[in-house]
Amino acid sequence: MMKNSKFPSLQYISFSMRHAAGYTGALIFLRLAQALMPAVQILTLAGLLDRAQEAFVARKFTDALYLSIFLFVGFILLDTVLNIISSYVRMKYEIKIGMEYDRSLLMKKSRLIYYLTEDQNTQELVSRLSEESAERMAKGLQNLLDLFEYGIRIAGVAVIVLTAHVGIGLAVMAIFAIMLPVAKKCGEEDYEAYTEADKQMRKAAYLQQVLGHRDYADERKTFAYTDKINEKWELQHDKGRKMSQAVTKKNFIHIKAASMLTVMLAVSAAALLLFPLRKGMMTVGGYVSIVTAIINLTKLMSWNLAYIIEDFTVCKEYIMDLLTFWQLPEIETDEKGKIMQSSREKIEKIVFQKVSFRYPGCENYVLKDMSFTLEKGNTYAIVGENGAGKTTLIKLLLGLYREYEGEIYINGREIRQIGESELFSYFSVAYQHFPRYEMSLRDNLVLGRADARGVSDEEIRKWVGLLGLTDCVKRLPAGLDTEIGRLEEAGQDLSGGEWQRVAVARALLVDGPIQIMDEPTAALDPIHESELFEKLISGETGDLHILITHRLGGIRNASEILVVQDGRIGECGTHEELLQKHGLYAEMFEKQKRWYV
Amino acid sequence: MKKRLNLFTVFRDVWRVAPVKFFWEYFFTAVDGIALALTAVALEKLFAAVLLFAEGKIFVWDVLRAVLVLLLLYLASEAGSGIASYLGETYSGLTVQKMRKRIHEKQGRFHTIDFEEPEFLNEMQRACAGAWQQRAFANIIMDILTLYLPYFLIYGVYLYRRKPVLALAIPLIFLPKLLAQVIKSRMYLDLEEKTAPLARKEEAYASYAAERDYVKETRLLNTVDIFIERWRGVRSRHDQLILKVQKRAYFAEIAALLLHLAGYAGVIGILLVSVFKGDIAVSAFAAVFASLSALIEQMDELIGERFGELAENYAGIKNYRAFMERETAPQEGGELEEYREINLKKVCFSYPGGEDVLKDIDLTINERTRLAVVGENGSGKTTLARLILGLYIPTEGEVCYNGISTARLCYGKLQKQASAVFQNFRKYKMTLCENIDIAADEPAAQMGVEEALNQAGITLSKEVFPEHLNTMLAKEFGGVDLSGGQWQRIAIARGIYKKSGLIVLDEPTAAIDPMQEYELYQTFLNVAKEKIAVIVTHRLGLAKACDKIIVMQEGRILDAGCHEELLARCEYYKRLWDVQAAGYVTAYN
Repeated sequence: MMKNSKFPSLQYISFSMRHAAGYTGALIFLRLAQALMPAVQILTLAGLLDRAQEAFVARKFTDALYLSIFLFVGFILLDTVLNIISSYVRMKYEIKIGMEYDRSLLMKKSRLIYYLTEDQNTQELVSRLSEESAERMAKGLQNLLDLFEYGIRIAGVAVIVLTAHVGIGLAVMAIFAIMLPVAKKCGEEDYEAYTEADKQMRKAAYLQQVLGHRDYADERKTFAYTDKINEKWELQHDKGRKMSQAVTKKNFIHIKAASMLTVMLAVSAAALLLFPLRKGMMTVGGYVSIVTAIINLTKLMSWNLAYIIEDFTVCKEYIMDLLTFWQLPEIETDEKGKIMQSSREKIEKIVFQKVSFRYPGCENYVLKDMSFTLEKGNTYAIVGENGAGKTTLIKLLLGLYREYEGEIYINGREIRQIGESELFSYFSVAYQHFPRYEMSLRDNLVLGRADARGVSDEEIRKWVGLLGLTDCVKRLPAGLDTEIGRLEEAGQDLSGGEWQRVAVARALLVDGPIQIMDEPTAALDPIHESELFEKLISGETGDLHILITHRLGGIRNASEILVVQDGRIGECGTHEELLQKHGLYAEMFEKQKRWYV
Repeated sequence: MKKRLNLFTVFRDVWRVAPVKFFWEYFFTAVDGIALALTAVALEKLFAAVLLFAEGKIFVWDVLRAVLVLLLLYLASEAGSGIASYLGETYSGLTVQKMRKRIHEKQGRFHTIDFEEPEFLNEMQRACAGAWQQRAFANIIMDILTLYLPYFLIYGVYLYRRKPVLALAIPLIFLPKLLAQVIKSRMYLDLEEKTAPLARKEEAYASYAAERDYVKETRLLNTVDIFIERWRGVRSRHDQLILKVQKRAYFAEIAALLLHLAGYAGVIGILLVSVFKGDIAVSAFAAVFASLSALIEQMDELIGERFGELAENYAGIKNYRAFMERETAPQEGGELEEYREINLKKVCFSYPGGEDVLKDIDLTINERTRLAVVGENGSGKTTLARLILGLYIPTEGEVCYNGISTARLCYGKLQKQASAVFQNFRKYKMTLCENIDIAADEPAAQMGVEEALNQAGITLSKEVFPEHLNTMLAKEFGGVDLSGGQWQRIAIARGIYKKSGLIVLDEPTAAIDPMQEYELYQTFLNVAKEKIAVIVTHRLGLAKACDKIIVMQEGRILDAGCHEELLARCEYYKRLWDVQAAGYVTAYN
């Protein structure tokens, strides 16, 4: 989207131009006009003062005096009008660009290759970019315009002084030259230290959540840890605060040292200009108006310029982050940037061939040399201890991680050759860690359907019934159309188990050919659990089922049970076969059974 | 809620944070203000000297003296503003910290049920956003008193001495701007309030589309763009609201600007006329004109920025104060030392804005009873457990400990002797040790953190916990990621660690694998031995081993008894049992 360039900050202009060309152009033009005003004012004021002095001495009003008054007042008026127009344009521009920028960030974020969403560095990058993101673009552009304006203002004054006296004109330029590097340095340090302080502050922000977030309410009360964590929060916050304070101190010293130098230069310019004045090279009006302009400029520069240049550095660093972010790999999209839709194919066979895998940046293999075949029409159960690699196996099958050794084939095609959206179209998945979408229950259920609007109540109710959600729907004031969660005023919350069953129902409603249930029954009661499993095993929906579970009782009828052990397939076979083997499965089964006889 | 703010208290709260710093900050601010105002006088002196100098009436040294005075004043102003600003930044951070700490304390004192109310959550969010505004508000007031007021006063006197009518310049330029600001501030006052729910929605939809916890499922469902559309819809509504207010404010501003311009023109006019009448010298005219732009800048800063902030701050402080004054759960009342008996009498309960989820519950739990609660999802099991634990107070009826109603006991200390493992347990992004000892300052007898972990079946291997108990359990803070099962065991260890006479175990093994589940069942039964234990479970195998089982259906207790009794007389229970045991038992039949 954006090309890396020699002047990364120009991205602020190009982004603004792309998304709000009219406003951006107007802002630039207006700024140029405003920047020229002080120079014009020096001239009109000088004229006014000289004519007034003449009139005062001669005790007579001349046409020249009237003209100079007219010019002087006219330009003040013009300045005001420019101000009025530009603040209107700015208001419109800021809203528009904020929205566009947030949207493009969100688009990019939502299209990142999956493993990046689990990558810490990427997450940090995204969190840095997202902070007050709506204002970033406008801020960046304003910053550039400010710099531009100051440049022109200084140049304007310098040129006028130069016409009076070359040496002093150069001195005025030196003022700017001194401020620039100092302020630039401040900005750079600030950004680095800011990231360090930010790290501490993020820890504090997390504790803030523990202390106040709704999700922590139960434990906060039960374990009464508010005071303890509050102390901890204070320490943490203090640490971050002191870090940024130290930077502020350094910056202020730099800025003030520079601005005092500037003041001295400005005042010495006032002293030096006395010589051309004495020699009659300039009029008193000219002297007074130039000194006034220099002093006003200096005052303006004492904080502002330092801040502007500091901001410039911060904005530049931000753009560098942004450029890195834009270049992160994405999933494939069509020419309009939409995520591709794929038509669904029938499933025949899934083959894992000598698959080994470790997570990016990790040394230990999670899966080791795994080989197995899954065929159409069957239900496979994957069991094993926590951390044995069950969930990882599913992540690979879904193509979420593609840096594995060995091959995985779906219908004879290696999945790395298949695009993400096409691959996804094969699956319905109910995850162990299911998300809660706070929206209407109906939308929640049909979310995965391309024909979401056309899904009949009958079809929804079928699954709602199977998963034991019928009573829940009845309980909700507007039935299926009730908003669930706390986003809406009238929203109703569901229990943890209900949320999970909604997630399972949603997955089933997608009706992909390969259906994966990653411990869907953790929150199901036995009757619904057994009904669900029977339904899946009976093959009424989908072509191939993979059930990951801890409850061995429910999967006795599965076509094949794969016992994952330490990253390998430890044993596999039907329930009876495995019991005969007296291996891990038989042992696990015995242990559970003991509680039921 | 609409009562007036006592601004003095805001002020007092702020200066009490660090009175000495406070003094120095505004001392230097005053130096800045006074020096700045005096530059007008110095300028006039300079210009007058320049005029004489140009006519050859005085020497260059006389002019340079005036230049030097000017320089010193500017330097004083720069130094003053630099030091004051640094102190200000420091003060600001410190105050925010204090205020937030108070919010946290307050948050800890509400009823748990309050956190189920969207309106409450909104109010809380607004209060947090308003925390920093206390100091900002006080700062502006102080700046007015120490910076702007001295400046305007000295400058006003200066103008008055040149020509009395000129002193009018200050109000002429000042008033229109002030008026516009007042109008504007009224407009912004309720904007925040209106947009808070929209902001929450935007955040939610954006995370559905792209946040880590959602992205796997959202993409698989191919609904990323649907959420982005929703986000966009809410965002444009949000933007429209903002724009509407901004536009109105904009027009108020233009009107004021025009008035202000008229004032400015008036001052210039008076000056010019005075010059020609010979009332004041041209040098005075130039100096007044030169310093006038500084005056206007100061006023713009004060009225345009600072007053504008003042109005925003005012709204923020109001939100903050409203939250801080919100009624919390009563913190007095009796405390409980032990649980001998828990009684529920005709207990009904509903969540805010919802129907009853529990109806007419009568239940007695004697000491040393392990009570299993079984039933379908949504039958009210978790809510019942929360009521027994004292997290919620019944909407009707009462829950009594040793015959005393929970409503009469000190709410803040209701769980002093109780512990729990929640279904929706928390994964603290802290170290392993902190994850456990967060539960109690003093653990149960003979219970170290390691012992609790051990009982919950956590092995402290170097691979999983490279830094032993100090391993940080969050990738984003440079630690490790754990599996769902490991987290669950940590939650169990936390529950065990706290000393308790009552323990609630709500679906405590949902994410644990069978090998350790068995051992944990035994642990639960052991832990529960000497106390009252409430075990919410789907696994009837565990329920069977308890002393008493209650079967919940649609918010009521369908039946209660021990396993054998229920199997004999409760048809629903029998069906549950059969379905679940079948998997294990029929294999051998």
